[in-house]
Amino acid sequence: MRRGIFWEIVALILTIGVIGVVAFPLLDNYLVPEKNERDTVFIRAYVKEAGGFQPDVIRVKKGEKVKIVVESMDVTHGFAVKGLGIDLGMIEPGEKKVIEFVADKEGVYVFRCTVMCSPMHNFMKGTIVVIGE
Amino acid sequence: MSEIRRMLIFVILLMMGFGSFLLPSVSAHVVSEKDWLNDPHDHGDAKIVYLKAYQFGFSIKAIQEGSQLEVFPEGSEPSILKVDKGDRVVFRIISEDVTHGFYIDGYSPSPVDQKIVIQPGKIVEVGPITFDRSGKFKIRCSVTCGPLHPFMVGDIRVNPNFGYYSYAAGSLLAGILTLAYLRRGPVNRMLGISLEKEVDLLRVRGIGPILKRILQWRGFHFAVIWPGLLIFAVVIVAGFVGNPVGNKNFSIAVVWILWFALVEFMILFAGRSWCTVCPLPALGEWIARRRLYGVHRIRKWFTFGLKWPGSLNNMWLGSLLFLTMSLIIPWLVTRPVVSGLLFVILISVGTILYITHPPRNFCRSICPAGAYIGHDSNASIYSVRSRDKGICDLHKAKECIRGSPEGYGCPWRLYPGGHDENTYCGQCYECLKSCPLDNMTVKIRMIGKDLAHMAVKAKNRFDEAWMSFIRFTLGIFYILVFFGPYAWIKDWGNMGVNFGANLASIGLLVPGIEGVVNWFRWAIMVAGVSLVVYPAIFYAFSWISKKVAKAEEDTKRIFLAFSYGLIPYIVFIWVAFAVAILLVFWVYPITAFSDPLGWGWNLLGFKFKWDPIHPQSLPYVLSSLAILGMALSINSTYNIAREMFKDHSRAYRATSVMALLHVVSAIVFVWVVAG
Repeated sequence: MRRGIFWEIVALILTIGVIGVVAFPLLDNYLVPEKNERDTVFIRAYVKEAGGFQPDVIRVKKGEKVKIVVESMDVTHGFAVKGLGIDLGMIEPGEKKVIEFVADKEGVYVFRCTVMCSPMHNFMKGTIVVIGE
Repeated sequence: MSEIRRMLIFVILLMMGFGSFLLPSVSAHVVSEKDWLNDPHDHGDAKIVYLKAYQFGFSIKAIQEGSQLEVFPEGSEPSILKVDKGDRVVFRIISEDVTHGFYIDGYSPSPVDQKIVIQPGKIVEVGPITFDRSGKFKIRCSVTCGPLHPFMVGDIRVNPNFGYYSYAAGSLLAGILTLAYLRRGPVNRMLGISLEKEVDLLRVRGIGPILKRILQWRGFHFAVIWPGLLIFAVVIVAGFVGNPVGNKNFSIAVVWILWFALVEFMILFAGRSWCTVCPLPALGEWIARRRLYGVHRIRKWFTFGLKWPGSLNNMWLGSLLFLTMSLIIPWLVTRPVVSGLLFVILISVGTILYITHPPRNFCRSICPAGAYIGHDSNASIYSVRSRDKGICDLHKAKECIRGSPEGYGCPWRLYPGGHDENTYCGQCYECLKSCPLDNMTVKIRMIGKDLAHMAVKAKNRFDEAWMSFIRFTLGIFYILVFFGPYAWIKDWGNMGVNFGANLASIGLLVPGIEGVVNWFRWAIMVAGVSLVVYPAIFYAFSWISKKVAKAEEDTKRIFLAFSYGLIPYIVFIWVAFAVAILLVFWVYPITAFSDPLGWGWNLLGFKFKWDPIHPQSLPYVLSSLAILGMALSINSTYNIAREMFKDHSRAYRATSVMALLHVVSAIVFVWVVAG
């Protein structure tokens, strides 16, 4: 009998653990805001229908060195910032491309996807905001 | 913030009378036709094929031989390239919409070494390729291009296609050989192997006692369900928050590639073993029992005194739900959020119904997977049976029905001691635990042992007959749809929506009007073929076989009985489908375990890339499996007829007629995969 209860409890704990597996990422995804390291920005690229660039607003301090890692999550995307002269070319699904630069001019720069990725490709863009001291 | 903006864009578009789906597929990048069709290079004697790639298929715009250019008119561009053996071909490829890839089974180098990428706005030249082996080869897309990317294929037929002719002739020959074998009137045998022979797995020296201890261990059921529960928890999470493109998402890669294929093999080798480990109704079972491990009778007050309606004690609901799922299958197997929703619904309904209507009524009559697994597993080599029915009949306590302190009474509402079909036996092994006389066991037998007596008993079991027809037609039809070159069928089933979906993008899962209309066409096509056309043909053949055999039984009875003869055929056709899926898409489930949400993780450090395993031999592997299934099916039909007519000559004549239908079906199958 006592052994039975022991196993009951073990099984219950295991099952509650599984429910945690469901609950935790859902909460994490929707309640905890995006956290980025100070000088490295990770951008995930989805087709616009699924959210486009995430995050799509990046704040950078003038004169600081910035490292941007762009990762394509679903289909082939591209990444280019016209005002800063950046073009990473094609980024295949699962691929990561890295760019380091120093933004020396204040202003708002638009980055876009450069590869036809979906019917809403033209809407797939984001902004880099360079803030002065 | 971005969420709100996204919603705003969507609402504004809707208000303007545009759904995002009505946005034109931007064509600014597309190469002008003039540039494309004017090839500046000289390719000697090679044929130039002007191929366009689009979501989700390939088609040929023009073929150039020497200076002669044959341009196909818009709308009737073929998707099957026919060449003669020895031809040299140069492909000039453009993409009409997004970035695609290009790969030919057996002819292009492995996509891991050299990936051919076709970007919109660029012309890619591949070749010249010398087609020095005849047969059927598929062009596949090798760059993830959207939800239906895995099924984006085109066909190349290298004539003379000896493989196809010999396998088509092989089906005929196999049919004739089977009939020649049956001519001798083998009683209760299947292709030479006696159906009387059974192996009592739990008494096999060595593994028998170990297996028996495992199956009789109280914690066994929980121990096998729990991993499944964990996997399905990840499936649901991945479905809602993971990557919207199916083949990068755990919920699609693991369920519709790995699970689906494994279940087909399980049906053949281990019966309803999926139902042993299935976590879907498990929560309800544990709540109703108020035990996860031990034995505790379900109290009456717990169930609200509700009774399961007798009209649902059949397979109708399950098989029609299976058909319904099949109608939305292009969405189900490519949209993570649709899969996630399906499993949330199944788990909720399973849990609630277990609490209100215990025990496993949900699994018996509602679960669509349970319905087809149960039906098909009658052709399994695996069965849970009593050792000696005589002992069970004399033993009045019937712990296998009532339960004992060691185990529950059969949750599937069977009499385990007496039953002799796999349909409703969920293999939970409670009877092995509760039987005090050690009379329950696992038996390995030849395929199709139970079919004959099941078929003869089936007086009005239309539900099971229609399950056979649905499974059989869809097995062939889906190979044609998903691995065939006809992009328009895929587009109809897909409602013309070419993006994936997760919770973040669910608002954009709205198809256009045209897409819905096309889907209705697709639905009528699928339901018509499986519910009406094939059953009608089957009925006609049953009627002819009645006439030929001069049988006294009415056609309805013969029709219903012979439908059970299809079951081995069904199992082998779906095993063939599973083989195709595993050999081509094996990489997706593996990478999904390493990166469940498709967020670019690599938890397990895998370096696998998409690379089909020997895809050029798939047509022959698949055809062989179908022909084996056909032979088993003809023999089952004979066993059924023999049991029904009690006479060799009549049974043989009836079987010959049905064999004709089965051979024709096999040739159709061979045409689909190899022709």
